[in-house]
Amino acid sequence: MKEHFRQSMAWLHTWTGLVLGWLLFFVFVTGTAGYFDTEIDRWMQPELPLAPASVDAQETVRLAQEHLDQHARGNARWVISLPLDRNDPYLSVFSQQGRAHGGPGMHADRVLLDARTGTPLQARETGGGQQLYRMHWKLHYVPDAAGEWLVGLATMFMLVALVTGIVVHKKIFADFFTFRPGKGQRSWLDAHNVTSVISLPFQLMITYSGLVFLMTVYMPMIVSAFYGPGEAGQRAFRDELAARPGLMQPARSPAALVPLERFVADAEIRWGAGAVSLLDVRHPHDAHARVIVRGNSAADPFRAAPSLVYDGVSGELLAEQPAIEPGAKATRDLLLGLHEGLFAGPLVRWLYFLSGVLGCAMIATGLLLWAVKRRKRQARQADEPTPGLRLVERLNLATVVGLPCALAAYFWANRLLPVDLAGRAAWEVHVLFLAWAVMAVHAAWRPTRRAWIEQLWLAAAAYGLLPVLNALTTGRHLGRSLPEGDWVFAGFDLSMLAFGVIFASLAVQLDRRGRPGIASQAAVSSSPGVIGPCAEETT
Amino acid sequence: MSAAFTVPAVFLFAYSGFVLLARSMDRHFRQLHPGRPMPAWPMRAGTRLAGWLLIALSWWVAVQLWGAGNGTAAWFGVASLTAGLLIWMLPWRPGWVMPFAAYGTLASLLWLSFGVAVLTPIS
Repeated sequence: MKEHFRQSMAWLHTWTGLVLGWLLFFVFVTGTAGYFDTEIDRWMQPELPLAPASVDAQETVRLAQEHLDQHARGNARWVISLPLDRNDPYLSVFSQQGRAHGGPGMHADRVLLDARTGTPLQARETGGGQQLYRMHWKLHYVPDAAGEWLVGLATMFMLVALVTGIVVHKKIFADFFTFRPGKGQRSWLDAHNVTSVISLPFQLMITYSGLVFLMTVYMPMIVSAFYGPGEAGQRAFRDELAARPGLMQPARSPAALVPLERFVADAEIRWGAGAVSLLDVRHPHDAHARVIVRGNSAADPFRAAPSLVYDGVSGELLAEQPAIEPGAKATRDLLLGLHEGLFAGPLVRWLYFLSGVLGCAMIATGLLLWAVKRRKRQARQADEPTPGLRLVERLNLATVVGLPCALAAYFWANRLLPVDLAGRAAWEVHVLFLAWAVMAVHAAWRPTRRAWIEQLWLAAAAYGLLPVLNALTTGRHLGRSLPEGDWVFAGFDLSMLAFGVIFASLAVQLDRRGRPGIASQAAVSSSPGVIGPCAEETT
Repeated sequence: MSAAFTVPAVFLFAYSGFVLLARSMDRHFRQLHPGRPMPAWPMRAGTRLAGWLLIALSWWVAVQLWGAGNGTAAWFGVASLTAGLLIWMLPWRPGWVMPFAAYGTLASLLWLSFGVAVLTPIS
């Protein structure tokens, strides 16, 4: 009975992992890159100046209001984001026409401003790191809802794969430190186990909280039961969730708005200097103007910020909302906060990134293990590999190496597409997917082993040469960014170099393993847990 | 306490804790000390206990440094990194594992004490 249960779980683990593994790899790679979203944004807009280290919040808000008064006076809503940390490196103003609560017919406009002068910052059009982060949960070329449902389905099965994986793994503690390289399938299983087990808390957290993010999308009936069916019920629920006491419909009669920096001054008396992160102005210059001042929600994983609601005309404080609201919402906020990791400083951010990389490695080794196991079995029976196995092997290559190549192409496109190209941001993404398609065709075309080596070398070149491309196309090369302490540019370039070295060393190892003379031993044992899926093809 | 003094301790305590746990297991003891006989059970149990204590200590220092929420979240990342490093070293650089643990922990401990001494106001 017990063994039967474990076998069922193993079956479920194997097949859910395979069927959704490729999509999950995409979700994990783009999500992991998303931990450096604003850093990638900055690299992809090299025209932007260094982000200001610290700003005087009141003076900054005064400058932002000057800009908004000039350019967005009649709009229904203004949002001013102060440059507190890496989550919002620049002062940005956002304004919206139409209904203040969004919804259909709204037109929104977001501009980055120089925090010292209040003048708009000009930079090339790009999707940046935000585009990667968006694809992480909405995919691309599909309607938002379809993307969310597909990613949700994959996430659900990821959770199934994690739980069944724990059941199937008989000796989590006994094998905790066990990695035996050079033993073919055994090594792949070890690598899959080890990457999963050492990052298991992160993987469970990230998967479960990923589902919680869109729980009302996946389980709309729960909202409908309490708030009524359809879109109206959903809106009522959302409004209550984000309720701000004191908000009113516009009076449609003009009234003078209290200078916004006064609200910042009042909030700083309560919270301390530098604690204001955002001003949300509803119906500015209307008799019913309201100003919401929000603290920093990225101070800790609870993702909660205190807010103050003011009357924008009299300046009177209408309501004070505490940072942490009790019960279910706090639980949800903590899960989302842990998922996004906005609270993380540089060190913890790198740990997040590393955990994401371990997640990618877990999925990649799982996919490769599926193929290695079957190829070994079929080779033993002296059968030709089945078409199914061939397909999986090729999809594995196209995903595990092809996707990183495509991602590099996205960065190359950012530097090489003409700066004034219409629809430039969209073209960057087209280049990503075109490159990925080319990698898939290549993977299908070439003998599997050769294709692995070639794609690994391509990835090595594509990443390793990015700093060179950056030096050729901008003035922010390593020779300048390092001495100037511009860690965003230096960090990006050095990370790309590191990825180039890693891909090159994988290519060298795989190539060396297949050489005549050591090929015979390579078929059974080989150098470290690198790419083993095609060692058998050499003979 | 300044992060510069405490962060090395968080990493090295966790790493050394994992090393002690591995050393209390047959397979890894043989990797670390080829040819030496396995110690008797009281020694192994003691090693294991010390390993858990060091891991707990690493978490405690992280919490002191970053607070309970941030510290625990960060600590899981530290644990993944240090365990991963050890797992990589065991087959490839087994000779480095023990010296790195011993000298590293000692150095981080001295560094931490230095930090405490420097930063504690003398009354």
